[in-house]
Amino acid sequence: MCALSSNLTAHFTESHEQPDAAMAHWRTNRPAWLPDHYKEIDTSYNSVTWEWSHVGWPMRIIPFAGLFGGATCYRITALFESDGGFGSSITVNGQADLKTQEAISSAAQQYEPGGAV
Amino acid sequence: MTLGLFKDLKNIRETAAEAGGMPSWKDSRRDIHSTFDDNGEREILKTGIAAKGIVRGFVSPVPGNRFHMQIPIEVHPPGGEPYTIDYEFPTVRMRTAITAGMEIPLKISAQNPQAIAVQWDAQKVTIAAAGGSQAAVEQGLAQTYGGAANAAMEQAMKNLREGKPGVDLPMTYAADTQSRIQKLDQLKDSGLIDEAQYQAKKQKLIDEL
Repeated sequence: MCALSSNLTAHFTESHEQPDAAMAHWRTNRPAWLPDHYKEIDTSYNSVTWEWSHVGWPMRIIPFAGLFGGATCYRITALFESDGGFGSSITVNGQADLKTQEAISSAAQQYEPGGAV
Repeated sequence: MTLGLFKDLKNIRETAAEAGGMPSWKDSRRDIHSTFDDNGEREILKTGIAAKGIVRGFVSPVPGNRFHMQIPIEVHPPGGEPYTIDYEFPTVRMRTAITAGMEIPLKISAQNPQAIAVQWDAQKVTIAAAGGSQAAVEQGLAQTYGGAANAAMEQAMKNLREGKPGVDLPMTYAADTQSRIQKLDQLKDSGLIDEAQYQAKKQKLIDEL
């Protein structure tokens, strides 16, 4: 059980890879802005989702606190679409911790805090 | 905080009264079960086959279950023929827009092809890529109904932004003249408009023919 944090949307391009190849590439070689503690939890026919369920230290020291929530879920999904040519347009949407948000913001071509959804 | 609690209790009582009274304990248990019963979707999301769906209608209530919704979806299994199902889902699982014409990511149960689960995180990013819920809904409607529905929605949104009192729908969406005159007759008979207003409106409708 966890609470979701606020949203973000960012756009990337892979100019030399079709969507299927770009998605396979991102799954095997994770983008540098995505920390290792985000685990892949789901894939669809054109997207992949990573999640980090984070429990802060105040909640860790309270016995059985996890039964009543207290964790924050950070969940990021990347969608891979054709850019109309030989490359891919990649949209990243979801929730991330502050440090990851900053890393996404500096790596992305476009970044919208709050997101489009 | 205490005042807030009393206000919440008052709202619960009044909302329940509007819906026919407070449910019994037995009915409450049934409602809680119905709200949080996931129809096996968590298992399908873990073990199902990823596929694409195309929405072929609009979300509507499920008769006899006020906590579930349904929507027709054309399922495109990988390497198989498409088929259409009425996807019923608990309303609490709905996390973003889903409407006619949208392409949606879903998983199909390996045991039962009629059982599916929408991948809501993936649907959210699809909507973000489209430019937000409004843009995604408009694109879906345009793909389903061509330009007419989109034009009607854009005109309605423009009127709303400009503070116009009415929405000028295209003629194909307007009621026919005969039924509008009959409505006018009813308004006059019930005394809501006077003779002069009745004649002016009636003439306007006839002039539109």
